[in-house]
Amino acid sequence: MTTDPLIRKASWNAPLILAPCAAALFGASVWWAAGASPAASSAGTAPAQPVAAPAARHAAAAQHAQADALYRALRRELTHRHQQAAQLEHRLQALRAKSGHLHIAMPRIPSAPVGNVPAPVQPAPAPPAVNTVSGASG
Amino acid sequence: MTAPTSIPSDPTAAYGLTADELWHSSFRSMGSPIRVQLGIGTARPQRCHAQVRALFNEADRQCTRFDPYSDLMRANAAGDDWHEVGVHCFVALAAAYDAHLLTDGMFEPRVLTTLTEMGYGKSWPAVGAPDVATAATTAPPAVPWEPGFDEERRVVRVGPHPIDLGGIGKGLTLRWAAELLRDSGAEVFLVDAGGDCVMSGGGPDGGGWRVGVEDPAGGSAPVAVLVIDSGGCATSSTRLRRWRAGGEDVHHLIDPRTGRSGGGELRSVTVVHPDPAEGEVWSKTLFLHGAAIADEAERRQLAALWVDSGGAVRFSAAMRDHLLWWRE
Repeated sequence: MTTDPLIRKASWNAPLILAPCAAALFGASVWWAAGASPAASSAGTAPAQPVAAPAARHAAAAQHAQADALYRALRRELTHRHQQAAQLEHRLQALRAKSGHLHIAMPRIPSAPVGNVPAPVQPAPAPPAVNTVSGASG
Repeated sequence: MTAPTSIPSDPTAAYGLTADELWHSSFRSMGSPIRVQLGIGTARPQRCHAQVRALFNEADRQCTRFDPYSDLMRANAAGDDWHEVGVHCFVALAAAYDAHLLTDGMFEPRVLTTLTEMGYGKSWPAVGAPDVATAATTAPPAVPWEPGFDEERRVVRVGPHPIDLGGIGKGLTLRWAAELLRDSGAEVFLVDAGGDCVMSGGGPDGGGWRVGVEDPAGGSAPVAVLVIDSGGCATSSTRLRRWRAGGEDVHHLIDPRTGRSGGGELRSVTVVHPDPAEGEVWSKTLFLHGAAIADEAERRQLAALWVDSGGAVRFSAAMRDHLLWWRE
């Protein structure tokens, strides 16, 4: 333990000097920090929203307009094709009615039948020429 | 390059295809016309034709059941005794045994007695099989077939029941013919042995060989046209080998389960297979499955096409790749 009266007095007075200094330093720091931080938004907790530039807004509008035009054009094309198909179907029925029992031979791609599924009823074209024939021995 | 000597009439003319791009010839063997077609670029086509002809004649000499002195009939006569046979007969008997096992006994070579009793003991012309008054009384044996093969001495023991190699002898000969032609340098070829055929090289124009499937009801128009680049095509049909025995219609495809002509309402079955011998085995086996053919063809993943008594044409999924046209 210190016995010198001068030193003992100084140790008791040191907090009286240091405490006000620390408080002043803290206040200055807070003031500085408040000045250096970005300003809070007026909406409080709402996140900041990106705001499109005027030029980008124009481009998006143009794209929407183009898509709408394309959609309308495709709808018109589809309607036109439907009308054409209906007309062709009508003409085909008229031709069938005229030709009676005659069939029109049309090329086709083998698909069915498989297994015991019967072949779909279609007009039979003439068989292609062959190199040889597989059948009964003889 | 000169044309092969003794070229017969164009075998494809009946079907309307000119054979200008192919060397072609034909001869008779195994009771059938054998037709050979070679690509125009084949070197020494005459030699190829001669080799194929010699091969067929030798295989026929060893494997025919219509000659009592053939290797096969001598082995049949020996029964349970070992008997030496030619290499073609030896391989054919071994292959028949393999097929018997592979098909769970549906391919049954021990039908010779049954066929003979039914009247098919002698070769007959393609049309006009004689009617016989009696039906077969001997069914194929139910006991397992246990032949013996000694490859070193080339001797066989066929067992007590005589063997009919049936179509497997022809299928094997087609396999050997293809090997022979390839060894001779031929790349594009087709050999047709009276309904069964083997081909290679993708056809004369590279678009595949076109094989018409004969109508079992007769007539010159096919019921289907197949496209095959390489491999074999075999058909089992009742068109020619059918007659009356014991008051009923019979044919030569005997169902080992009943000892009678099998196949039900089927009239022909065509199988496309990489190997012509296996194709022959499967065409006959599938035929005997009758109404169950669709399931069996799918189970075995075979490219099969069949025609029933009503003339309807059906095919398996694997056959779809080969189908160019079919009759509806």
